[in-house]
Amino acid sequence: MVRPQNVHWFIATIVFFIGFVHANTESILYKVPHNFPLKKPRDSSTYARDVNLISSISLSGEAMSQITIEANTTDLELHNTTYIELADLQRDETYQIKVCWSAIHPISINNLQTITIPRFTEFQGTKSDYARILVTFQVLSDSYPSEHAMVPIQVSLITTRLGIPVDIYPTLIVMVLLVAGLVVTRAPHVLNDLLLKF
Amino acid sequence: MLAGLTLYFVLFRSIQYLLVFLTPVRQFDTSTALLLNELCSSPTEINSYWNKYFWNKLLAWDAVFFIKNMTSRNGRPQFEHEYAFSQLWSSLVRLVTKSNSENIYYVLKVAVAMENVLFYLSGIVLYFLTKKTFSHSKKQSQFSESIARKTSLLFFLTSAAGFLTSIYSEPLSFFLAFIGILSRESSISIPVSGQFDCPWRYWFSYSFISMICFTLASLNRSNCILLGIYFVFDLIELTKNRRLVKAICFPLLSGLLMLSALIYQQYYLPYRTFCPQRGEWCKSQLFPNLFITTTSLYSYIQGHYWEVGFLKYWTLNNLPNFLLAVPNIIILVYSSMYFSKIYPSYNLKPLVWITRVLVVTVCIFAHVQILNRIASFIPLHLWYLADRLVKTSDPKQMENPKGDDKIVKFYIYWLAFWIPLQTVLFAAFLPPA
Repeated sequence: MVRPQNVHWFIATIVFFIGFVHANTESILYKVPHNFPLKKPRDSSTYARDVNLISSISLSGEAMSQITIEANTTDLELHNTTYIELADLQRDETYQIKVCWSAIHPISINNLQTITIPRFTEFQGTKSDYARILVTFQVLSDSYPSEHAMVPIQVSLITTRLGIPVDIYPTLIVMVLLVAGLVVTRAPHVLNDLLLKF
Repeated sequence: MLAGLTLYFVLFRSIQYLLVFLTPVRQFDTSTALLLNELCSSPTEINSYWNKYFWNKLLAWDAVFFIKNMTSRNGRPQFEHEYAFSQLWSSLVRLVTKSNSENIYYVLKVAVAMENVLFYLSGIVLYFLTKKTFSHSKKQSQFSESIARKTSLLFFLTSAAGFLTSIYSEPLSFFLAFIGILSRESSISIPVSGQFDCPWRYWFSYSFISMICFTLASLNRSNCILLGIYFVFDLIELTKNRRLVKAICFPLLSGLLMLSALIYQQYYLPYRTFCPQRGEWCKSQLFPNLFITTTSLYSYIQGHYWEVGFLKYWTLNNLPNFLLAVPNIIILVYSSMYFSKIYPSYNLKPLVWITRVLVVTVCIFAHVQILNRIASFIPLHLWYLADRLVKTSDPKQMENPKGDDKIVKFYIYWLAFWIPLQTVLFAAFLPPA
């Protein structure tokens, strides 16, 4: 039998490793404060003139959502910051914000963080009558020769449950079932016997 | 023998590919979709049943760099760091797919097929290499047959098996390394009572076949440069025995040719391509107007882009990666001790040194967990495992193993969990594959 404690440790180990992802993924966790003045459905959104100035990811009724943006790697660092509004979040919930790009584009994502813009405050030429949560990051070329192109980048907003982003639950379930299957079928023992007798 | 090995190879690979299929479609790293959008113009093709549930999942981690190179128009790397990924392997796949090299799924399928064929052939070559290495007399033929079977089966269960479902360059190096070692093994006479010698009739198989195989294996995967230790060992032995002409015509000539090819690939070509406008590593010229730099392009790429360097990986947050490598570190260290102290074998001496140098180098300089992927070009640890398995013929003895047998049992048990998990982790683009 697989002990629940073993499964718990197994999941904890996987989650621990996810914290050290390098390669072409950057992620942060963000917890919405319990007293954050979230936008109500009846509230007006950004002013009409602001539409399309800042991209947004909305989680209305979904556990995760993602958008693909194109970032310019040719600009100088200061002018190269991307802002994305995170919409329809819940108070006291923790979310994972994950930025992925294909390794065929050698870039690095720097200063991935969230910022809060108070209501009626002008930001990047936009103004809103509700407080906004934005994720920001800088896209820098990290290669020789430098790449001068619009690089597609996927930004995902994912709800977490028990501290684990919900998008990896299906994979974790497959892995737990796999380990359980290996234990139940005594696969290591069978393999050992096979090698002894072969 | 061949039928049994083939059957198990097909069985193991089928289980692994079934696991790839069963891995959820949504990967942890979502960038494969971006890659496919750029390399494949047809969304219908990307989302077709088999591509969505199977083939797309094989384009994770370093496979991205290989597929980019295999499908590029000119077949040359676009960026400096892409030179770290074998051009030889990409060129070989391009050669096979030449008329259709821009169709990503066609290239992927051909490359996966070639990967499996090379992996399988490496196991078969290893079988003959093991038989050759362990059969010094007719009395030992039963033993060598048994150890060879187990070694090849263990090779198919390599700790790199998850990566080898995709289009990595390792199997090409395994194949070339084993052919090279076999060819060298067939060209020397091992001293039972006499002296180490390289008979002249074997000059071609030693100085041409072995040299070509070791050189190509090193050009493909730079860790195979350690195979050059064979030439250093043979040079020392022949010189000690005062066979100077043979020392020059066999190992010295072979070693120099191998070194020249590596200097050409690692120093001359990069210098001609990037310098002096690149700056950085170009500035570290050893002598003015000479292309030899103190830092090779490969070392520069590893250090600059992936923070590889002396003790750079020895940080607390890399502790899990060290833990991942522990089973292979233990088995490699024990195998080198086993064949040098407990059952010392003269013809395994160079391999013992290659194993030691590999372990120390990877632990000190590299991302240590890559040991799980690259170590299989050396068969010493497989021979150690197989030797213990042969000597522990009674399964009851293995129920309460002691000493070495305990280590062997632990390693096999670890493999039984690691290979399926690594396969799922790889297909899910999830660390720590």
